[in-house]
Amino acid sequence: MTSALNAHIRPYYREVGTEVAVFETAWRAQLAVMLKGPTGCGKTRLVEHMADRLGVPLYTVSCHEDMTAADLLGRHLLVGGDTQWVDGPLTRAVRDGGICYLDEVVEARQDAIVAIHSLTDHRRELSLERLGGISVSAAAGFQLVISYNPGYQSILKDLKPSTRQRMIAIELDFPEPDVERDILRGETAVDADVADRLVRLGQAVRRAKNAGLREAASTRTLIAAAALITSGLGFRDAVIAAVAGPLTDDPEWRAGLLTMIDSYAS
Amino acid sequence: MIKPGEHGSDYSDFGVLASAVAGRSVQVGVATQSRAWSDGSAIWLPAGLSRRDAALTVTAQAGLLHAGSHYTPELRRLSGARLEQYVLREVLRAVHELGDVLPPGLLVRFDQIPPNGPTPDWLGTIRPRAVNAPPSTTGSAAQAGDETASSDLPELTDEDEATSQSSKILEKLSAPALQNPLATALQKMLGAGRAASDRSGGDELPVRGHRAGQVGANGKRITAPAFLKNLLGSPPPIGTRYPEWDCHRHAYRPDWCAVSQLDPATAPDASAKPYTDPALRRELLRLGLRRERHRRRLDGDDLDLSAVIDFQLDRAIGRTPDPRVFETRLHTARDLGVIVLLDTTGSSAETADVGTTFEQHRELAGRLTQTLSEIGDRVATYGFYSRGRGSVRLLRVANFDDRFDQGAALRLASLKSAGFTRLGAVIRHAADQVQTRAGTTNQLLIVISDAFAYDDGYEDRYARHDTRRALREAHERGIGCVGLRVGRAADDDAFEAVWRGLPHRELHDPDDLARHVRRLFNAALAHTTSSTPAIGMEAS
Repeated sequence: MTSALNAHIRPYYREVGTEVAVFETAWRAQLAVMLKGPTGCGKTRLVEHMADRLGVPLYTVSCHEDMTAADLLGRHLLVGGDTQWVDGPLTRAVRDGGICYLDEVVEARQDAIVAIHSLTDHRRELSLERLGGISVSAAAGFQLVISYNPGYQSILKDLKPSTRQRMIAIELDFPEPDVERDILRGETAVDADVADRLVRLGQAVRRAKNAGLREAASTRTLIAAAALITSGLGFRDAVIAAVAGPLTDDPEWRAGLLTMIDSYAS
Repeated sequence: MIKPGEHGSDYSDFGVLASAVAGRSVQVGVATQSRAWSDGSAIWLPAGLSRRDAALTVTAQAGLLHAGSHYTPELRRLSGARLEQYVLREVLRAVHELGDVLPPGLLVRFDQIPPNGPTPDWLGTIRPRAVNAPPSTTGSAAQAGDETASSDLPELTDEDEATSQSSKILEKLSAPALQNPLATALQKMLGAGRAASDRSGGDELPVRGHRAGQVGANGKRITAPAFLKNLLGSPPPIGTRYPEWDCHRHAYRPDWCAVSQLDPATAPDASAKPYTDPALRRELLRLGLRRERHRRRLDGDDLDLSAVIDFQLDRAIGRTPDPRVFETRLHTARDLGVIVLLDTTGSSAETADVGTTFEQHRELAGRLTQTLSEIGDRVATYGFYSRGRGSVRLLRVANFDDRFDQGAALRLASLKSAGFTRLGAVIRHAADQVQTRAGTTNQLLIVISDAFAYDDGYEDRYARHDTRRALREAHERGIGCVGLRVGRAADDDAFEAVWRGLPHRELHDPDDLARHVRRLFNAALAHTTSSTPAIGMEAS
């Protein structure tokens, strides 16, 4: 339910490249989109922003291993002695002409993903065999958006080529330093000097990733650190809590990160 | 944790900062000299620096690594004041390039340096003669060099610039016809032996005798025993430290070995080839390891909610309901992490027919890595060798997060046989890796080696006992260990003695692996964590 109050608050998104234009063009051309990029670089935020910008409802599904096709399409429920069909998020998006966003799609199992095949080609139809095999044609505003983090999952779980080829790809990465500074200041009320030091530290951690750290410091973790700092926590404590802690459990890496953070603390 | 401002002589925690600035893996240790320097893969700082000064010096030295300043052709011709100027110019260039990365607090200090010198002492220096071959991962400045970025030049006494003058001993050693065993051993120690020497960057000296020439430059000033001791002594230890089992004293020697991980330099003649083995793939696929949810079954431990709803629904509308309403968990999902260790040392190449054994071992490692990674298992593969207890090296072919792609195949093809074998330390490090990085319930450690361990102060009974000890430690931590080798050599008892009681196999050739792999892996996995408790190993 969208209240009049938060209808005015558009989700903050700072464009890094041409992704907003590409996304919008794809929406107008009724093409499905796949978003690639590391965790915490702004994939979900981009989709939220676009749904708001295009004025269509957004149905987000966080995919997981045990998700079935019925979880996407809908199922019959027993109400009293009668049965009642309840649409799943994908079916609802198809009927309402909204964006259906399948987050971390490679986490879902292949049998759940086949449901989207007929939606991504020119038919734009959803076949509901459990509802007596009827087909639902997608309303005009409908768009399928999937996201995944390449290099994170094993090869087994990669998308099938036939699915991939039916989509256009938007590749996101962590933003350039000056853009990232803008983002930190746009998301939180952090002052320019602190934002600058956080962004530099983020850059440094991403460079250190080459040396064997599993994940890099994402824009999301930097925003979290900035939020902690604006709420009164010291720079060092905030960065340890929001960046170093979530990044690694390895004591040596942790000690190394703390030493590095000290260099940025003042 | 060391607190800021404390004067510690251990700088290992500066490794992350150094790696971040350099953009690749760099470690930090304590120098025996009064000024900081780097050999290309590690940075050494003088003892007793404050935390702040150490961070500053690490940044300067890592900046030089980032800028590739150790690998410019003219570097070897610089000395004295011109070298100092070069260092200053390069540090400032690097700091400028990294303007968006470095902490503002440190940038201020670099800004205060007058650009025309003098070079502040805290920047440290470059010792052109103590620079290793460039790592393959750096950019334009890097050229194909030695087999690794290893420290093959022993630490000698500090010198600014010694006049290059070959030592007579070393001239004799590099004489081509020389065949006496001491000389061979010495040549190997110096790296002049089998590692085809082709040093990087603007070097006009002939290949043979080059390294000897370098070391010999210092020969003049040092007396013979000290000279030999220095030659045979190891480079400054760097990396993660591991204990070693001393069977004579029946006790561990704590922190005895230092193990580090490096990328092998790409050999110019190396080409990536596929290592497909359908038979091996078939066998490995039959290892079912983790419990996975199976829905809509006739029997099972739990009700499948969706199926029950459908059942009830069908009954309500008068259709014949599908009775498969249960779900269960079966061992069908894979949850296996494997670390493959490939012996790249001289001993592997020295068996029956030189070279071919190592090639077959390489083939084995390639097939295992590619097949496991295709199936979706977590697999990491490293070559290993050592030069004394201070420099046990693991060369990355693929770590757990890499796929077996062109790059990995190229790294595997670039491994050359060199150095010695200190198996115990390698196994201890690999066991740590698989336990901390694989993230799987089932863990395997595969050693492809003839297990003929030999290193400085590491041979025969001592080596065998330490290796067995290391395998037992891994085994007790729930890691399955498998020993593989190709061929049958004169010293068969080393392989047998080391692996007795654990799954191991002498293979006729790489094709032989498919036939034995399931028995070997199952035997090894029988000890791993997932098989000990009968229940409760749910899919996470």
